[in-house]
Amino acid sequence: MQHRPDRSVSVSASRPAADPAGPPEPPRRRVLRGAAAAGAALAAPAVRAQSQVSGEIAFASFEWNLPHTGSVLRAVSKSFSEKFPNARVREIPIPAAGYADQILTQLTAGTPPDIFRIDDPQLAMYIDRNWLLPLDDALKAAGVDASRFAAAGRDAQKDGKTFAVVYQTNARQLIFNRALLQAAGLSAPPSTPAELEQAIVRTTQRDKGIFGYTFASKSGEVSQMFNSLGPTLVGFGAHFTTPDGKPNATDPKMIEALRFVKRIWDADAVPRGLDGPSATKLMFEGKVAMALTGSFVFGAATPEVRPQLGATPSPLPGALVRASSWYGVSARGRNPTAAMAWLMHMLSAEGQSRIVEVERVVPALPHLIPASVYQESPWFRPFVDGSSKAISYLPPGLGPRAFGQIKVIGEEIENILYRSKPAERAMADLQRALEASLR
Amino acid sequence: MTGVAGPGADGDARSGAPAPPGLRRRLHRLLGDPLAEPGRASALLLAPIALGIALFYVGPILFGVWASFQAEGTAMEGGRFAGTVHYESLARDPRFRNSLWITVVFTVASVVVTYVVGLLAALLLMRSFRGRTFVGSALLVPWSMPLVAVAVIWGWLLDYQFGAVNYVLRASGLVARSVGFLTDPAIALWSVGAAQVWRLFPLAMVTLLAALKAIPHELYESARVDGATPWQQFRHVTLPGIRSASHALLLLLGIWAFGRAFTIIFVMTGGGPAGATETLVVQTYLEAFRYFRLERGSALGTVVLVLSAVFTVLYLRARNERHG
Repeated sequence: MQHRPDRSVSVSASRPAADPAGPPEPPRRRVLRGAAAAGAALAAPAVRAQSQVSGEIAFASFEWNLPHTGSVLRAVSKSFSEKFPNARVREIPIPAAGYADQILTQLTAGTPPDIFRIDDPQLAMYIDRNWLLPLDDALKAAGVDASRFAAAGRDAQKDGKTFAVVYQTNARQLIFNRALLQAAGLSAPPSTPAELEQAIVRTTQRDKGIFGYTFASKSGEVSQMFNSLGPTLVGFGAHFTTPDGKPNATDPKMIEALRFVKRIWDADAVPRGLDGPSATKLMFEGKVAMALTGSFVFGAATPEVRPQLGATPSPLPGALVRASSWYGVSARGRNPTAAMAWLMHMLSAEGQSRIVEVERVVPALPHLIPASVYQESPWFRPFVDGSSKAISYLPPGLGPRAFGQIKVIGEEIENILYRSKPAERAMADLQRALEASLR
Repeated sequence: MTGVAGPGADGDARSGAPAPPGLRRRLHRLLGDPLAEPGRASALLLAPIALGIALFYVGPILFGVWASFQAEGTAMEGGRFAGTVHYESLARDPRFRNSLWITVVFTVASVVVTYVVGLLAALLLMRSFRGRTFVGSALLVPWSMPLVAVAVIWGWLLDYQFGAVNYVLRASGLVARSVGFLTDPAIALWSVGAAQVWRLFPLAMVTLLAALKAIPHELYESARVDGATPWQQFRHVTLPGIRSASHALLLLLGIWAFGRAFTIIFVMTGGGPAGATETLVVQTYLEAFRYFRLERGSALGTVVLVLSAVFTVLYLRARNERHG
């Protein structure tokens, strides 16, 4: 039977009213109905569950296009459909470039998919605008202990409610290619910022298309630039804002970090103008010697490159940084019941095992990582341990405003890289812009 | 009005055709007699497309104009009138002024170069030489290619790391280090302009070729008899002969470069590096769909609409002049 929620009720109940005094009320009736149904479906006998979880789930993610993550999502969807034969996942593969734009447009227009991937910059804004359904009742009914979520899970919580579940969280470590280090005469990965800079320059072989380091620098793709450059900048010990959200761009440590980035840029040791996936793909293909990035590189690297990869703690003195992705259920989707059931299925031991076994990333529930993973990949333990203490690469203390501010910050970083604007002047301008914007 | 008296009535008796079927009768009743009431029939037949244009073209434009006067973050929720705040903000914004300047430079440069290249190609094809048909067909290929494909191909050709152009330049020893065709702010606008010209010059070529062929041959013979040099023939016969076509072409190219050159720029550079190729249409997209400031983006879109409308009016006047 094709499940069709009562659209007249759901739309009117879920559409936030224009209220200048404050955010609109969440769609309570719909939330309760969806969560209760999903919970009941997971907790009740199979026959009852199958009848309640049905219909098509519109599932949007750019990860459908990625070989490893796509295979995991399909495998989880397949076992989900076996459990709930009346439900079917409809893949909506959106290209990574422009993914956030498209989702944002759909959310704004009131025609979003049922489930969609969310990244750090957008998460707080989506929650703040009531575009995501709270999942607490479904989590409770499915027997998921939210207190055991990876640290990134807290980023999806507001007022004690959970609005999205972590798909993967990646603490950034220095991942290196042994063959490329050895070709440059380096027997060990760098352990200080100065050694890192020297190693980046030494391992670069422009004539062979080999780069010492990589990060995204495509203009306009500030989210991706932040994701890939954030660990390096924050690694020097400062961020663009203080933990309470005050502008902090002129911190000497931030200027030192930007000078470091500019030096390796001018040395032609970094690919230029690439978006996030393209910049990272060079690492998968053995064209980059080092990067401060996540363990997913091990899962996605080609079979020839994978044995050459190693991981070591960041040589930079600052805080450990993580980047994460979440999946949430749209408040205006057509099939929230089945969508929540899918998320709960992903959180099952089977779903969590599959994520970590194929992708080598830390999933939402790290305690469900099979022991065999640690035996096969001893390097993986620091990533898991790091995920509990790492901080987000986003400027802290800004909440839903972070999404808008990274654009302002990204423009000044581009000015430093592409127009050789001195870091001190760029950060002074940025400080003024942030002060004006956050006033 | 001719009524529908029943089967076998009306013109069918004259033509000897069988009685009109039910559908024809109903159509006849709806449209009336096209000969007696041509206005009614035309209006009814045009109604579906007019409705489509109103819904999918005029409607969004009106919504965009309306949204540009609403407070930030309210347009999709019913709106809250904010007056001209977004337009005032744009007037003060150096980024907007920079984008306007980039748009003007891009428009003027790409239109002029497209026109000149198209004219040279058309003049070449006016000459008689072996393989002219093949050359003419080959020169039309860029116009037949989808815009996104053109942008992606040019993007890869000019790529800083792995682009074929940089490879050839380095291999031939012309440069020691890759040229930042798309990553150097001083060059990027000219690079995307080159792609735009490559895509559009066949249109200029075909338009001007048609105009050139319409110039009476006797005019050139008379000029030669009077002792005119080739340059004088070009100046006093060819250019006047293609003047009205050139007006229309230049304005059309201007409209496309000013208000519609989004795809090539966005795919190749995303408006970068550091805003170096951020034309008004690219900035409109970024504001509305990337930075989620729909109302400000709508104000930008309205500015582009008004400026494009000036070009459009000029184009329509030129077209009317051309067609007498």
